[in-house]
Amino acid sequence: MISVKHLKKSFGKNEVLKDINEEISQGEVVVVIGPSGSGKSTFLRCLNLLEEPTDGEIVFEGTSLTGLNEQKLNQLRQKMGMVFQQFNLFPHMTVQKNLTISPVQTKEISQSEADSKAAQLLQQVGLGDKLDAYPSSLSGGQKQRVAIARALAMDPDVMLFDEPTSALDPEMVGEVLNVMNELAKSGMTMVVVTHEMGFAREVADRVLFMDDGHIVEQGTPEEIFKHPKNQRTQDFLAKIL
Amino acid sequence: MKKQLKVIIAFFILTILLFIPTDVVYAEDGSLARVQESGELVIGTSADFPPFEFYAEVDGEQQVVGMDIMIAEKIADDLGVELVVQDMEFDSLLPALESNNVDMIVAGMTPTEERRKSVNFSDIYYQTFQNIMVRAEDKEIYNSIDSLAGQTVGVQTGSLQEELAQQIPDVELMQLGNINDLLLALQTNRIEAIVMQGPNAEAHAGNDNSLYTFEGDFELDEQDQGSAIAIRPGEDSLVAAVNESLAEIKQDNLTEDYLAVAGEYMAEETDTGFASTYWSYFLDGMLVTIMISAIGVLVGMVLGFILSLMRLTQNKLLRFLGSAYVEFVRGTPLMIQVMFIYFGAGVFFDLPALTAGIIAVSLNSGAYICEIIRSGLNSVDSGQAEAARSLGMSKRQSMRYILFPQALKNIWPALGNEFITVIKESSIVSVIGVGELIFQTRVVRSISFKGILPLFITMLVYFFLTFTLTKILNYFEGRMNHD
Repeated sequence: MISVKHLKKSFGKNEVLKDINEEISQGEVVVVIGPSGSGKSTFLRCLNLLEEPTDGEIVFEGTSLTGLNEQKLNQLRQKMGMVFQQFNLFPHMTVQKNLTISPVQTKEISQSEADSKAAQLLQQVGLGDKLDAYPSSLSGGQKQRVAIARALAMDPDVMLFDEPTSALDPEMVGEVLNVMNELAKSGMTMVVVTHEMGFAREVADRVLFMDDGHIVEQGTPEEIFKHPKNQRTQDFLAKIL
Repeated sequence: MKKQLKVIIAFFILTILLFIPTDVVYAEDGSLARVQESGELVIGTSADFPPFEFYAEVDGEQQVVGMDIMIAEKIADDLGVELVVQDMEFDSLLPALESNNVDMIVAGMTPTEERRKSVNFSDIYYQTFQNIMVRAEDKEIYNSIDSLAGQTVGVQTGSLQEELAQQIPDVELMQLGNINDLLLALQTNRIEAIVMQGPNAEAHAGNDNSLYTFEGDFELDEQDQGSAIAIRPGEDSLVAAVNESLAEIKQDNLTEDYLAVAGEYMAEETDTGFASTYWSYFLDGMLVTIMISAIGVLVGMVLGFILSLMRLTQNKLLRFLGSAYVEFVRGTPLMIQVMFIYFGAGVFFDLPALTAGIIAVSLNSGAYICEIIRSGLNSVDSGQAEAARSLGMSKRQSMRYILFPQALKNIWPALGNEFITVIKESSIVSVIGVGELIFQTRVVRSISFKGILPLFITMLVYFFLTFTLTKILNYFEGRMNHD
């Protein structure tokens, strides 16, 4: 579904991604782990071109995203949902409006159709009663669940998660992971950058370990967590487990 | 090398010639035909100068009346055209003439040597004398030029009296644009005397017991004692026509009649109170002020938004143009911008003063609003734009639905500040004779012979406007607040 070919990304002189090649298939849940500064967030943000790659190619559903015009790129981004560490809900809109603004504006969907879909999605993430609330009245965990529902409202083919639980108080991490777990079970293709090793072990089909701009090692959770081959993977896991 | 320099200089001169006002074309000499063709004789005057030009109620309407206006009417009649009177500050009259905003100046103007260098004058139509105005209680102390030695004396800026006052030994001058301000300065002991044109001084003293006036013992040129009509240089056919009318006036001794009529207008005592007599001036002025400010702010918002996008774009040329505009407009006074647009446009086409004022205020507030909006857009968290883009919104949609509404909330207090500033700053357009609140205040002061009360009322009206606006803005600020 997504092919990454010779992806390189530099910020000024600082080379963050060094020749990444990767293939993500339909229905797969890929978890990216690694020390901070290893390039995992940049890798994820390159997938929907929030970061412009310095070199290389991203192919999504047969179309190369790099070098597309703005309009085509916007259309393809509609199929790639993204969830941010800082939620990035629109603070001047109600929860319902957060979920419906993009479907109504970018697709030819009526407001009432979008509204009923929003209600259903909020039900699904356990926030059916928060339609008319403003983001400022929600807890962190609730905000992140709304953000997930907002991304889902676009009917994406793939969901990208950029450290979705890192900004949360510990007692709220569970409710967000539960929603992601449900999503994975429903067959959604997911790429997740996270420090939640429990989630990686339980839900991932495949785990990528990144360090210093490279994918150093990858495999099933079993292979990575029980029998890491690379020294750097072993060091990293030893520190956090 | 030398040859090259010559070519450059020649080119430079040619370029400048292109910008020399087109009225040079009229010089040989379509001026009279032009006025008759247009069907209008537009005169400039400064209507704070009774009995020559001042405001009075005629058939329930406020009009500029006085001896000069009646003379102008006679001239217009003789030419077979309609008279149009444009009232403005005395200082602005010569620029208005030069830039074709008016056909002639009929404002009790004395044809001094200095003025003759830049404009043409008709024959002198009224011989006048020069007075000194003092407080009534000082009439024993000040009775001659020498008795005022070393004192502070007020004169109208750019007037003949400004030159005459130099004859007072060691005099310190206070120059103000408006005679009513000078009278107020006299009554509040800021100055000891005012040098004023004779009949004008008598008109004021006759209406106010606290003032006393006497003829000053100035050394005068014959030339300096008369009033004449100023016309653009080269427009000799128009001068000839005016002189014909003036000769008739002289022959029939019409100025006496005119002054008598003017005196009647001035003598019309108002039995009713100040407020009930003059409220319509303040209302008119307030409405014009509201109109200028409202249009200025709305156009300024649109312009400011476009400019702020220009300044935030990647395109270097647009960015340069945007910031050049903002820097230039912010870095020059609004008053000069107003006069530049009005008089500058007058060289090429007829731009009404109100339109010129609105344009200037809009262009000016656009520059300030640009900077406010730019700071607002910069203040929105970059995650908001990323979220919008990740949802597939275009740049335009993301600006319209996500970024701008949030920026607007952040900049609301600063915008409110700017709106209030515009309401107050719009008063500057009074220099080109737009009848907004400050202008109307000047008019009321000139007809009511009251110095302070109109100022006080105007202050209250401005406060009423800005305070109401503040309340409205606060209401919307509350509605935007979801945090």
